[in-house]
Amino acid sequence: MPAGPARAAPTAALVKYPSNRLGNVSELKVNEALDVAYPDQDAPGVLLKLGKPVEGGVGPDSDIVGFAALCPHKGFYMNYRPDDRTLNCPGHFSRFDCEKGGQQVWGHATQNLPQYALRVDEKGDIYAEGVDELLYGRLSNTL
Amino acid sequence: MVYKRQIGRLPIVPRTPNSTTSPCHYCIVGCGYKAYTWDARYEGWTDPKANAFGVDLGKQQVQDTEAWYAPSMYNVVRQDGRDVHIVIKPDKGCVVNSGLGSVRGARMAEMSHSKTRGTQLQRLTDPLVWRYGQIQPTSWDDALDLVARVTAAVIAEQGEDGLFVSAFDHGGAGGGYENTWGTGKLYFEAMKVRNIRIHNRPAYNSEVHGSRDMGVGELNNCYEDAELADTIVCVGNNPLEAQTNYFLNHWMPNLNGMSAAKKKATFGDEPNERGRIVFVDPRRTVSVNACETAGKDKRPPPRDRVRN
Repeated sequence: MPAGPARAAPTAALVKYPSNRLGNVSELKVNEALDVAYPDQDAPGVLLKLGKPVEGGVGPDSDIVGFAALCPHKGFYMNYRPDDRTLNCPGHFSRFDCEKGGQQVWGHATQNLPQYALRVDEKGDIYAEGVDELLYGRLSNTL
Repeated sequence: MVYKRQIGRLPIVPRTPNSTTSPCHYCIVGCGYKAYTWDARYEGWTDPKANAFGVDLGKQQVQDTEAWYAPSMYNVVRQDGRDVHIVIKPDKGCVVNSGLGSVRGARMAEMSHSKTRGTQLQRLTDPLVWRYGQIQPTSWDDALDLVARVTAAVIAEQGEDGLFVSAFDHGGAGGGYENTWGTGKLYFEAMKVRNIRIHNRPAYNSEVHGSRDMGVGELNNCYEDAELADTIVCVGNNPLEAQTNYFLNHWMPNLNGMSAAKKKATFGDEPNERGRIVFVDPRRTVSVNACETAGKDKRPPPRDRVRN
């Protein structure tokens, strides 16, 4: 308990997210993960073009999605499995469905996978502008 | 649409919160958890001197860190008549789970009664007794007094063997200290009652009929045995789902060779390979999958599977 009055300004449960360019539509190949980071370089993630419209999907085919790549269970770096389009954790076997907004297929995380709010501009540049869950390893999504 | 909390930050545990360690409420494994509470008007900060973990929370923390908790591990609850923040997170110092949380235990804060955040409002806050034709709330003193009077009356009328008890079980874990320890001391040690059953079972025994007569007593090994065993035979169960951290923290290290040093220290020059796990199950469970995944590319298949 702080001895004096709290000096920190009150903060909302949501934080102010930067609008960061993560890549261009032309860089993406269907069903291949492109390594990115958001909202800063210490928060690894992936961009995926899934080839069919999906939840949270953007771009001309509504099929581009982005997710945090650290497992929200214990923070292990996950691998993309193209055959069933899931992100898989090598630590404790958790799996997340990239076609279903990062829903946990199975595992011991107590949240679904943080998904990026994406925007694509007229040049095909892909911007991330928010995250919908707490990222592993930080008590504020923006540091 | 998938459920998302739309949350970007959590209150930070301050430098000196109220802190306790406690076994998990849920399954029998008995994982250790740290519970922090502090006044609802305050929070800690990112400065290492201003939070309970002594680290700079303005930086990304590494995997397995103690300095992170999921939104499910946070709530606002009432403690001693005051609103407090509560964080209940896996205890890295506990030998049972070594900081691992499962989907059960890692939700203990979220699954607490909170008028502030509207969680688990259906939970009981008082003992209930059946009186005057209805279930009604009462005090603990009154409820325990009723139990004592009924117990004494039954013994007076029928003798000690007239008493039948239906009790909690799962000491150490599922409400262990409050429920099982108290009732256990009373009925087993003080009263030495003969007729007692536990939660789902007709008697104080295993779910598997005759298993004790067969020489296989349930729960008869310590967790360390699972790190040292040559072979674990797993009949009709699914430990990754049902006893998650016993499996992840004690079976897995044996399967993938992480417990080799402990085996060497225990058995000396006796040859000891990585453990094997034999599943006997009609289902292809996630436990089987985990063993296959963990064993992939390193060695022959780590299990023999028998389907019936």
